[in-house]
Amino acid sequence: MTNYRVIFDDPDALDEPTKVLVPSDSWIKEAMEGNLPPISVYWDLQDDEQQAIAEGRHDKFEHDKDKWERQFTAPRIGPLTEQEAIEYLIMKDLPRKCWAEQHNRPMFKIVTVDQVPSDRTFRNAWEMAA
Amino acid sequence: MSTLKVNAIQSTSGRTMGFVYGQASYDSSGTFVLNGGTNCSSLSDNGPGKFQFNYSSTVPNTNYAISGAGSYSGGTWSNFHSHGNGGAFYTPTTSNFRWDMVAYNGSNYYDSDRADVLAVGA
Repeated sequence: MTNYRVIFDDPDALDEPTKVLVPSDSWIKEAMEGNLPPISVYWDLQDDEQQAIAEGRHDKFEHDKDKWERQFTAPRIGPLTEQEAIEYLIMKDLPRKCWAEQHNRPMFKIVTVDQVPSDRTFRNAWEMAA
Repeated sequence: MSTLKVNAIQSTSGRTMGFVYGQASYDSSGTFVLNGGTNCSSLSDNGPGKFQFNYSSTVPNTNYAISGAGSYSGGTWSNFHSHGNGGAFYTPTTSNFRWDMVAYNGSNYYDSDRADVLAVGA
């Protein structure tokens, strides 16, 4: 079971409480066994969908079949360490603005589970510490 | 172990059947625990009663339905609000979708000690 979590703020929604990304253990296992495609496969699909949203044709959006199948047919990138798997996950599941653009403070941090509060009484007030 | 790979499932009468695009079970009552899932690379805890599912493999289209249920110890059941996140509509994508858990007798967002979410498409 992975002990890593990623805390992050969405640059487009800075008024919202800090979010916590919780990796799936089975996905981490797949990554460590070397079963992932190059990250660019996911980025290409995300780009196509963003283009469809921008052009107002997202309601019945469907991926190009050949491009979509590259997730399963592209050569695998080989085994990753747990830390590398978390970095890959950040580039796949976090908003791209979090990690691809420069901000005046960090928009995400990799932490361990014991660094995330277990008391959720004031969950709406969670902020990333400097 | 064998892997079954198909593009479509059809009944003998020719009806196309749906696929489970993704599924997860989690506990958000304290330290967030992702108990398990299918085609789920991660869940995002976006605030009390607000969550995001991230698909392991991008799904082929946005033509899918999502549903879920949750409960909190003490007998409080939470309503599942698909496509929500803090009351605002969030358009599901082929990479992720969001939902809210709201108390059945009020407008408060609730965390659950057992909750499940499911996406089904064709």
